[in-house]
Formats: sequence, structure tokens, C-alpha cells
Amino acid sequence: MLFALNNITKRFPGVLALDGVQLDLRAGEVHAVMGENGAGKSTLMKIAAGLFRPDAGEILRDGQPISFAGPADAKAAGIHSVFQELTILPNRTVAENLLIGREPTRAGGFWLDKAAMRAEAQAILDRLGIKLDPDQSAGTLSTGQRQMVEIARACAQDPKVLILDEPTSSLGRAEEELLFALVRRLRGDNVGILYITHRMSEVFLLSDRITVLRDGRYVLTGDTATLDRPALIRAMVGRDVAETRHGVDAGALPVALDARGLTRAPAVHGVDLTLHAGEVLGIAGLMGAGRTEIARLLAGIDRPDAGEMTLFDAPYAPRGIGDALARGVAYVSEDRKGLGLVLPLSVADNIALPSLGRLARHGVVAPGRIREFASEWMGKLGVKAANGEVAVETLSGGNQQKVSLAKWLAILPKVILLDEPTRGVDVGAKAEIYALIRQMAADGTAVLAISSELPELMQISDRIAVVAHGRIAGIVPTAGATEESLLDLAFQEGNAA
Amino acid sequence: MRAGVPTGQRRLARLMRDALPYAGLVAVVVFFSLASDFFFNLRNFERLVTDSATLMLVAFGMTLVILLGEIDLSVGAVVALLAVILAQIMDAGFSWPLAVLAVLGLGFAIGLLNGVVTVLGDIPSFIVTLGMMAIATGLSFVFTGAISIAIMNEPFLMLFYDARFLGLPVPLWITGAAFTAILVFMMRTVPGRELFAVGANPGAARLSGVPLRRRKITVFAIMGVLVAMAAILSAARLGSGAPASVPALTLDAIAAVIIGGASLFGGRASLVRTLMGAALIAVLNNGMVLMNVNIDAQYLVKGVIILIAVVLERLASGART
Repeated sequence: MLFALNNITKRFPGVLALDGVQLDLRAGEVHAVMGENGAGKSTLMKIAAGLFRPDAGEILRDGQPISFAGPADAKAAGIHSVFQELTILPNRTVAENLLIGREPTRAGGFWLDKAAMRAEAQAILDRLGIKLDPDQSAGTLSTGQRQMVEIARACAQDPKVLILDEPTSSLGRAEEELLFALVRRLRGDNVGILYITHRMSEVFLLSDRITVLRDGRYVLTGDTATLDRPALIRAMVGRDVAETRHGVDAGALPVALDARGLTRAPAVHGVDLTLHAGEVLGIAGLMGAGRTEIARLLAGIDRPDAGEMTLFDAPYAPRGIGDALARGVAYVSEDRKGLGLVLPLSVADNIALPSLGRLARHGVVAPGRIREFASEWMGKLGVKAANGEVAVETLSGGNQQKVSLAKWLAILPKVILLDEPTRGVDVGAKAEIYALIRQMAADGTAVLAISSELPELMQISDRIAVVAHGRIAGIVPTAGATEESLLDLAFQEGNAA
Repeated sequence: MRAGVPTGQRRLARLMRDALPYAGLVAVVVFFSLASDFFFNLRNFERLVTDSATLMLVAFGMTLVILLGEIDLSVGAVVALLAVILAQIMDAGFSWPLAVLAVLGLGFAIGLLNGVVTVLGDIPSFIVTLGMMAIATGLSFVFTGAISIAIMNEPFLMLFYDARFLGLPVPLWITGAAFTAILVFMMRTVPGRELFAVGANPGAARLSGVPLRRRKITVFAIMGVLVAMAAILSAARLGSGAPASVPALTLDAIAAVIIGGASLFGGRASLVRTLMGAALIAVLNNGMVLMNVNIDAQYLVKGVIILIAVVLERLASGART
């Protein structure tokens, strides 16, 4: 066995990311690792690459136990990796990026040998069939080209094990073909390749075996030839389906927000979406499918390249968030700490922030008025805090999320766009937030809810729109939806649509 | 341990940080009262208050700038430049109200320029105001030929240095009015309250509909007006306009804000504690002069206090990034 991970367990604060997972890799095979968002694929790959240390379990290289203190150890063991987060230095040339850490030198290792560096880089690029100028500054490359440089860097180091985490997510068609050819060539050279992708077609095209993870647990490993698409989806989902189903008749409700042909390169392509007042429209889709990007367009944070929107039958083309807020459209970010809340400020200041203008009398806001206003909304949402003056950062994740919701509900929005409303929230608080979301809709607000958790969407939504490759792959009533059918839509191929 | 929950150590550091300007002020007042025969008397206190008005005004403005996570390094040089211009306008025979208005307008314009270049150029204010500092210093030397220009306008000197209103010196009234106005702005107006959010988390502030750029430009413009007011009081006190007339002002103003427990990363600042910090610096300056401490040693003492304040701030805010 070339490389094996046995019984790997990894715990992050509050989350059991991996629970006794196993994976084995043979020399000369492409081994696909699949699973839903949050199944633990990336964590497992980062352990294999020495970026994380497992809490329990063993790593075997050629049958020998090995442990990695850091990525350098993994590289010394011939394990190279390309992750979604690119590590290209934008101010350096392609050649410098390719040979970083092992630059050719002369005069006793003191001077860089630029000529040798250039020649070596050119040789690597030629060997891999990548058409790039070694002298070009990496900052001027497209994302796809940077991805190729990253892949070339890993390949140039003579890997025995190569980890590719969503390598095609930012590649164009031609680059994709190049990558597939490269992967096949490496397989021919007896390299073992761990390949993570959300694209079903790539799995069947490239892989020899598949391992499926679900909720941090190992589900199965099988030869690709013996597996088909429905079997894979069943393996990835395979859990109890939520009981409660909502399903107001959307057709009978007034249209709140309507988008036609909404496009913003590179993430959103021709999205048609109708959101009714009084319904919860769930948005499902894989990571990177364009869900957040669509919400940002609706919220006026980004501006579309093309497409039209109407808000309550009036043209709606917000020039910024201020415009959208003034029209009653609120966006609750998935990034609660980075973009949602101002952590060191008090609960009251956070709740009042977007409503300050409304609370002011003759340009002056009385602190008492902010306190009252905040405590009213803390009460409505059941925020558990000693009082409104405590810093938000001292609250639990669930309470922070309630503050975040309170802040936006307090502007009395007509349309509210919720991005991952229960991320980092414990189970009990989740149920409370679900109830709040249903209450918003019952009060006549148009609610759009993005979530990576299908059971969550099934529980809160009236309809679910599935986004794949920046397009709406389908919109289904929750009542008739199954996780399998939704996932099937989510895995729809980008170029087939 | 979750970030944000104060541990015992952090709570102590927080307490010390918040108490520093008060405790420090009491300590230096007690020290100089015991060490110098000339310190503890009403006449000296009046002079202290009048002399520190320039520092106070600039430190108030610096509080807003630092609250945003920005910095203004040009204040000392611009105060000197505006004092030179003020002296020259009066020297050319124009009336003092005209000179004062012109300088206020010019200060506003310079602050606005700092803000606009920082925001629209997306350049750190550190660099922009460093440039402005060099420009202002250069201009004040060019305008004067490196000599000081005396102010002969008696009514001007009288009004902005010696005059009293209800028994208190005019500079104290001006400082008090500026303090009150900025305190109300910071704590009670919509743009003022938004500054805290802008400084602590610009991303979240933007998504909450706060016009970041406009807020930043506004603060730099306010800073410009305060700098102009400081220049007027400084010129009246020195009786002249001269290049490099206030060499320690920028450092002192930043020190006052930092001693007041503000975070240089933005989002945390208190005008009341800045006032205490500025008073601490002013007493130090005054007391060390009374005791004939040489000027280099004065910098050393201030430097040590600034470092203590910064370390306390970091300890108090823990690993927050």
C-alpha cells in the first residue's frame, strides 16, 4: 500500500470533523474522495498533507507508520498537495513561484541563478504542456492559470502521492483537458492521486476507486466501475429526512423580488428567480456554486453585469447596500464574525447599527433610545445576554446569530436574505432560529435562505432552488423534494444546462 | 477558552489600561508638587491650561482619526504652517478676523485633502499624512525663508492668549467648546456612533449601510479644522508664526490618545480618557520645564509612558485580531 490513513479522528472546538475515518491509496491509481459540504473531505486531505495533526489514528507510508509535524514532513515523504486556497505569490514571476524554496543558486548558495531558474521553469512548463511565460508576474495570471502554476509546482517535485482538492473549480475547458491528461500521465508514472471534486462526471471519467464520507464518518470505498450515480448520491446523503414540511402556495402570494437573467462573471450566469412575500425560498447548492454571489447581487452589494430585477413590481437596480436597505432588502452574511457583527461593540450598538438613522431625532441619537430599542429586539429574538451593554464577542455562537438576525429584523425589512443562518450554532439554538425564520415568513416577509445543510432547507423552506455552476438547476416545492433529488440537481453538469 | 471572554489576567490589564490616564495624571501632579516649588499654584495651573490648549485640540481630533484605525502624522507640521500663514496675512495688513477665517478654511481644506487622498487612493493614511507633513514643513520654510514672523496685531494676541471670559482664559473656553462638540458628535450622532463600527469592523459596517468613505473624509476634515484652531492658539501664545514651531505636537497628540487606552487598530477610543492623557502629557511638559529637565530626557520619559500604554492595550485586548 502506497499510503493509508487509518481510524483518523479530528476534533475542532465544538465539532467532531472526522470520526475514525479510513482511506487507502495504491500506487498508480486515481482515488476520488466524495461527500457533501462538511463531510470532512478537506480536513482529511489536510491531515494527509501534514497541515493538521490528527487527534487519533495512524498514517502509513509504504506500510510504515509516519507522523507529520508540518507540511514539510509530508513533502519529504513525497506527498504533495494543491488546495483550493491558492498559495501563489502575486508579486513574483511564474518561475519564482514554481521553484520557491528550491531556487537554483551559484557561488556557494548565496546568489540566485536567474538564468538557471528560468530554464528550469521553462522545462517544467514544457514537460507538463502548460503554455505560460516563466517571466510573467503571477499577479497578472487568471485564477485558472494560477491554479495550473500551483499544480505544476506540485508535479515538478516528483510526488509519490498527489492530493488535488477541487482542482477544476477555477479552470476553463482547455485547462481542464490539460489537467486530466496530466493526471493520467502521473498515474502512468505510478503516482497515487487523491482527487476531491464535486463534479460527478470527473469522478467517472478519471477515478479508479471512490471513497465516500458523510458527516465526518467513513461510508464506503468501491471500484468506480461498480458504482453508479444514484448509488453515490445515496451513500453521500443516507440519513433521516426531516419530518416537518412547509409548503405555502407560492403562486397565491404577491411577488416581492423578481430577478431575470441575473449575471455576474464568473460566478452567476443568467439566474431567474422569483421570491414571494410570505414564503421561505431555500437555496441549495454545493460550495462554490454561486449561492452567496446571487444573494450579494440581490442585496446590492455587487452589481450585475446583466439582468433585471423588480421589487414589488417596481424596477430595482440598487447602486449599493444603502439603496437596497432603503428599499427594505436586508442581507445577513454567512461570515458572522467578518461581515456580520462588530464583535468588540455591545449587543445594543450592533442591533442599532443599521437603524441609527431611524432612531435619531434632529440628528441626535439618545443612548437611552438605543438601549430601549435593542432590548425590545433582544426580547423578540430571545437573545440571552446579561444586558445590551455586553460585548457581542462574549456571547455564544447561537446568541451571536440571534443578535445578527435582530439587527436586520429591526430595520423591518420586506425582503430578507439569510446566508447560512445557522452556521456555528448549536442544535438547540438552531431550532429556535428555524422557528424565527418561519415567523418572519408568517409575518409577510419574503425570506430567502441559503444553506449547505439539506435537512435544514427541507425544514424551513416552502420551495427550494438548487444552484449549480452559477445557474438555477431547478426549483422544487419542498413537499415533493428528497435529499437525493436535490443533490442530483446540485451535481448537474455546468455545460449541460 | 473562547476569544473575547476575559480571563483574570486580561481583566486586570483592561482595568490598568482604563485607569492609566487617571492614575498617571494623579501621579505626575503629586510628583511635581513635591519635587518643584513652582508647580502647585494657581498661576502655574492657568499657564498649563493655556499652554496645553494646542495639544488638547489636536488630541481630540486624533481620537476620532485613531478610532477609525487611521493616523494623522501631519498635524504638527500643518499647525506650524497655518501659524506662519496667519502671521503673514496679518503682517500684510489684513484684519485678524479675516486671517482667522482664512486659516480655518485652509485647515479644513488640508484635512479634506488628507481624507480624500486616503480614501479615493486607497492609500494608508500613515503614508498620505507623512507626505502632507513633508509638504507643510517645506512650505513653511519656503514662505518664511526659515525665520519666524512676529505677530504685531495686539487685539489678536490679546483675545487668543490673555483675555478672560467669566474669569477663565479664552483658550480654555475654546478647548472646552471643542471637547463638548466632539463628545456629542462621537456619542450622540449617527455618523459619530457609526465610527466605532467602522474602526472595529469596516466590512460589517459597510454591509450595515454605513458610507465608509464619507465617514473617513469627514473625520479628516474635522481634524483639519481642529488643527487650524490649534494653529491660531499656538500663534497667539508664541506671538509669531515660525516653521517647526511645535516639534513635539504630533507625537504628544498620538501619545495622549494611546495613553487614553485607544487601540491603534481602530474601534476603541475614549475622548474623556484622551483628555486625561493630554493633561498628563501637558503636566509632564510643564513640570519637566520647571525642573530644568533637558528636552531629550523629556522625550525619553514620554516614550516610556507610551510603550507602557501600548503594551497594556495589547494585553487587555488579548489575542483579538
